Amino acid sequence: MANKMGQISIVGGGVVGLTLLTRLARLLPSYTITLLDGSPKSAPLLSNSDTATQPTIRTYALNKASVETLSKCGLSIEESQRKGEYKSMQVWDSKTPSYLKFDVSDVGADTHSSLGVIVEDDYICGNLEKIASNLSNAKIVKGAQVKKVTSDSVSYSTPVDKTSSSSTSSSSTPNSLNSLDSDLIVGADGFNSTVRTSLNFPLTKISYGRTALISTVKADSDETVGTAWQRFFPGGPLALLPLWGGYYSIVWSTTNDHAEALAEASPSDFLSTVNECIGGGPTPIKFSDGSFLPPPLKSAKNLLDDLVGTMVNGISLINMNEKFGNSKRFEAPPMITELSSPRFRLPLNLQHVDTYHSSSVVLVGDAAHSVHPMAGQGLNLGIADVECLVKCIESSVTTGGAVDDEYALERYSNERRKEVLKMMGGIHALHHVFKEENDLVLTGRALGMSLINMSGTAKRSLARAAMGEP
Amino acid sequence: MLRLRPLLSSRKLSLSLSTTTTSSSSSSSSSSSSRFSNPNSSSTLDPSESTKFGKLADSWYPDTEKSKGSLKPPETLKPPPRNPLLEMNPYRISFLLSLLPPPPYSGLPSLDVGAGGGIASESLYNLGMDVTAVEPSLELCNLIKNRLSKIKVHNGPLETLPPPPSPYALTTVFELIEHLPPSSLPNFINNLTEVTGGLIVVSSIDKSLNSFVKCKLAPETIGIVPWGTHEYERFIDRRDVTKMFEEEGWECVKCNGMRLEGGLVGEVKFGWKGRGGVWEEGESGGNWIAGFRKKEEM
Repeated sequence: MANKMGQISIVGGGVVGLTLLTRLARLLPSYTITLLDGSPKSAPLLSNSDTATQPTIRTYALNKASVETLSKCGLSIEESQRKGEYKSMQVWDSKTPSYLKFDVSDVGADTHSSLGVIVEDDYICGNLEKIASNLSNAKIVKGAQVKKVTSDSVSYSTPVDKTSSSSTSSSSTPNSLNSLDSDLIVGADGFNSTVRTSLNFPLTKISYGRTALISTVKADSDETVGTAWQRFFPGGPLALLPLWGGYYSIVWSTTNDHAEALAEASPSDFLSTVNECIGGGPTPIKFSDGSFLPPPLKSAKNLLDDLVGTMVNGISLINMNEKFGNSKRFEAPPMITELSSPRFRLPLNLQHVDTYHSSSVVLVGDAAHSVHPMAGQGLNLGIADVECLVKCIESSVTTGGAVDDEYALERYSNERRKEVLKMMGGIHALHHVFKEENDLVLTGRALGMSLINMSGTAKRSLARAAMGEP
Repeated sequence: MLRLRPLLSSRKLSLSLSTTTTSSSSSSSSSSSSRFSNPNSSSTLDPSESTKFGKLADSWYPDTEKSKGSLKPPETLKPPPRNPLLEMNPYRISFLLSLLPPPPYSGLPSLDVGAGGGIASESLYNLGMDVTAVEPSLELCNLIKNRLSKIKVHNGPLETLPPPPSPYALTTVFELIEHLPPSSLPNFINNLTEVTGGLIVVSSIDKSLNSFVKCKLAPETIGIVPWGTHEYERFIDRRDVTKMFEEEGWECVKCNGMRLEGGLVGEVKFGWKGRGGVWEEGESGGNWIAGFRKKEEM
């Protein structure tokens, strides 16, 4: 690598920022890579073998590519016991009798041990921070509030080092203002990115009008079932994701009012609602009543409804019988008995910047794109962004180019926009498919899910798309 | 525009009116066993209509408060169907205000006959008037009482209303007479003129091909109003109503057609929403609204 000295600044200390920090620090030993993290506290350092500590609240679903990238950083997810592994995934909804069940056998049980893993945010960040602290050219600044971002420099303030921890008045503590002249500035600061807004990156934002309610719960046994369940309601999906030791993570994306009611309910009311909703199985399809139609048309509609309903319910029953095609038995989730964490809410928006780079500033992760959590792809897209950016910078630097080479950054932007738009479009389409309640869409969805469930080929392609493989 | 012959011809009306007015003029304002002068005439209440509307009490007003705070995930995200009367109301009120002296109206005694869910009553109450609502359906009376606890509600047809201390300054009869048995209309109008001392405002639907398509066929087929809400037989032309009032010695001071401009009423059930229309003066809808006052003694 070139021995050119320089400075790269990364704004944002989440998984994406830390991954980029460790990768770039290894790639460019002569550069100083500084990461500015707004949160003042470091993530707890959780050990691989520590399964006794309860799972912390924020978890991510990682696909194989993300796990490989993290292992390139020096963090081995495969050896860790602090993760949830799921070998099968079940998707169904509340208005039709169809369900979709994937298994490792659909993608090849010999090459894959699981469909995916669920890992805590704290586990990844804590270990990556430790890895970064062992790299001499990687620096992490905690509690850095970014004040101004231009294309050559980042200005940030940090609270002056507090020697006595008993003092709690923060308003009188003077802040020190620092400025970093950087060859490359990376915005990895999440969906409300300061870097993005300071540099006026044009953003397309569509609010879903939904909130994701996240919490950790425990079931009645100490063994976690290795299946990820997701049930769609008209407001959005309720997902139960396995962790370890009988713990599961709940992600319920629903309307804002409903999420507020759930967050403010008592724990026992909340758990009984969750059990009632996730425990419900396939229900016979119900079409809208034709009471608004004049009587002759109404009887025709009722007749048509009966015929189509019988066909749809029948195909679903055939689906549930494992003898036909590749369908697997419908599995009921376990009974949730304990709420193990506070309930945390996130607003859900569809966001995408028009371009991922502008002169020497580049965006990665949620700063560039934000998708609905129903497919668990948000962080996977971010980590793939990091991998692509590192590859592009490497191709430039190894051939004597600059770190912020215009063509390299443009290649990154184009390649990632293409991939992200594909995934985003697919997820947004799924959102609409499961949101609609009119008769035609219900029928199409019910038949589609049942038929895909019975076909091994279709399931294989869908599972591979979700796992991030070609 | 093709106009179908109405079922009741004007000549038959005047014949029947002449037989009843002779008997009523002899016992005009003296106390009798029943408040109104013709106790034995056909009742102005058709019980099937009142049960039909009683069933719609829950969906009269779009109820968005109910599901807030519920722990169960929302069953459906479709908004509830909107009552087209809510869209018609502003024009009806502005019409009657154009016939009244300028505000304030505090304490003005007014009567809303056939109040339904209390849409017009609520508007009159918000303007400061002292409203009495008359409604034969019990469910709808309870709906009015729940929403507006301060107004007087009478559960029953008009002829069972107890006598007011002084005649009402304003009586509104909105979208009612097309639901009454046609033979009881003269009696009904007689009752109206007996309790009112000021302005009577009537709104209803013409009887023509235009109104059949626009007020009966189209809304009921695509779900804006439930099937069976209206009966074409009972639509009544504004001229016939004016004649009935003239028999009582009341004249029509203003009569306008009503029509919806821009946007469709409510949600069309194929999934396409067209909303935000404004009701205003115009002819093509078949709806009409008219104000009646007692003829000045010369």
